[in-house]
Amino acid sequence: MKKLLILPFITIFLTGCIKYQELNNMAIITTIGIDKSENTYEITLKETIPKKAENKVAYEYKYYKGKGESIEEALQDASDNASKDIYLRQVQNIMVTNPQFLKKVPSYLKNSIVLFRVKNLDKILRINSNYKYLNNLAKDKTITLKQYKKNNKKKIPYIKVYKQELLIKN
Amino acid sequence: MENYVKKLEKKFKLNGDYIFKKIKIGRKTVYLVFNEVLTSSDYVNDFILKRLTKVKAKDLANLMNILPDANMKEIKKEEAIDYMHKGYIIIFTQNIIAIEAKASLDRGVSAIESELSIKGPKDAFSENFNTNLGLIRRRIKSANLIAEREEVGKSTKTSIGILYMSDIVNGDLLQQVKNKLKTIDIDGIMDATYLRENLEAHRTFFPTISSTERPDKVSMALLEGKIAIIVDMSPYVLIMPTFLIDYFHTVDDYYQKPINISFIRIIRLLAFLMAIFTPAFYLAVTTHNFDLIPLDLLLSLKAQRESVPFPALIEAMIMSISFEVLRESDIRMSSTTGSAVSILGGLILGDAAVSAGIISPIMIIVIAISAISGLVFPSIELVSAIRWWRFIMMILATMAGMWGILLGTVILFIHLYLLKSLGKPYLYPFLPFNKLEQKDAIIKVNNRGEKYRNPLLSANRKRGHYR
Repeated sequence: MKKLLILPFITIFLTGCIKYQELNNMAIITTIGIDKSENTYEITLKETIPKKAENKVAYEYKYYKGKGESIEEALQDASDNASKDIYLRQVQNIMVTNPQFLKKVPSYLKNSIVLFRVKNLDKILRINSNYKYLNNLAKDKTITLKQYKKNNKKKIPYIKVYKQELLIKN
Repeated sequence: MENYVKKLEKKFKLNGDYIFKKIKIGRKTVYLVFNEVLTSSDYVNDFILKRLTKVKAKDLANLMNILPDANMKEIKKEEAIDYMHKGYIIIFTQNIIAIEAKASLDRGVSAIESELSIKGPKDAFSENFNTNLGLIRRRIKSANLIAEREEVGKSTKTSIGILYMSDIVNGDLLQQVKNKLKTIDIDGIMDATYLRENLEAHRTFFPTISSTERPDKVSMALLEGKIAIIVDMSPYVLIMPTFLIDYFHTVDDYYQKPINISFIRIIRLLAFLMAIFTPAFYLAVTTHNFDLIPLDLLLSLKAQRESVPFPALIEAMIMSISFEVLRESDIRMSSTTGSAVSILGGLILGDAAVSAGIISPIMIIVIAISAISGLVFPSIELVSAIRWWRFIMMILATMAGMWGILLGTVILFIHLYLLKSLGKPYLYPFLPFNKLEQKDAIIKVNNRGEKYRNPLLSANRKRGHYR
């Protein structure tokens, strides 16, 4: 009986598939920006930091940058540059300067991520807007990663800045 | 005889409560020996001394017929001390006579304190053996209700009664209980719970013998084929064997509409699961399985935890232990100071801990849900078992997240599956499964629908007919 109990213990604790992370030491990434210059991918990760304000939660943002020959390499580089553990499993938006980059997006990113096209990635990412605001702005023009994977001819909404406000265009 | 009385007098000379009275009747001497604390002085004066002084010397040999008392017996010399300690008056003449003259030292039949019910009887057991037995006999007026008396404890010589229905009880079970009681080698027992150690399954946090202060509950159990043990000086009666599902039932269940009871039982089952798993689940989703909660909630949890300097497990432990300390102090305090402790602990300390950033508000909610869910059960032993398993699950969840909880659940399930109460499976009637018994497991059917007794407890399975 004791041997039987030891087996699942060993399986769970020694296989290394579990990782302890404290919520406070984790950077929750909500938006990923993907750009490419020459042959190098440039990734910007936007961390949403919730702050307790009176009876509501306010958000602050922090950015991590990474470079690499592939998107995964650039993501790894951005993670290495961060002081916290990067958490990418709940990313809500991906902004790309070229839709072609989406073909190389790693499979572990959720299929429900909403996609946007941008020209000036850095400027748009740094505007204080959370993922909900962007998704609401796009409304019926929204296209998810899953939809795009099915039909890559679909148009990804384009975001631009006009007088410090974000505008969506097809 | 005189020498023996003098010997007794010498033995008890340091005690002021032993009375040695010498009465001259004609030429003969009669000695009255009793303990004034344990006997009723009114009874001694009015019924023994008054009558004894009128007795003639020639009638002394016939004293058994002259003094009126239902409980009067001729005893041996060496039994005198034991009878004296039971509240008897010992009369030494040519022979030795013991007359029962117990003083009423108990508080009488009082209202139930720990197993409250909305409907049904409100009388509870007291510390008096005979009162307790009487409360059961008043409910079961049958010659088949047997109350075998025994004595336990070398010094305390405490009376215990093994109660069972001779036409219902399983003979093997009864023999098992008797054999286990024979193995008890102890100086004294102060409460029924002292017997548990010898009768209960070891190496488990779960109670395999239940105790109750409700006479109606004991009566129900006896009619089901269970065995009860009454212990003198204990307001709790032991019931055995006990299954896990028994803790999800209350006597109230049999006094209300079955449809409502089924709902309440489902709530109790949920409360049991919530009491064990809520903190573990919270720890798992905040240290391992972040994907299981929506992003908005995850961000909200992070906002609440931003000022807390401790890891989630330590925070949960601080809260859980604080709650246990509060609960313990609340139990020990008198009701007047108890409410002050509750206000100080629950409201002021809780609010201050959140404001100081030691504890996050969500942790208070999680621990409060878990603790309140645990308190749904009146059995303190089950509450303790829940508390241990809550801690085990919390540690496993911190180590391995949902996998840890899964592992803990499997271990808990195997443990409960292997657990026995007097050799009977603890998870009955689910494992082994009994379809008929499901009528009073989680879903309750009308009392008329339960035509058969538990086959594990009785060979005489058919219940009496309802008219």
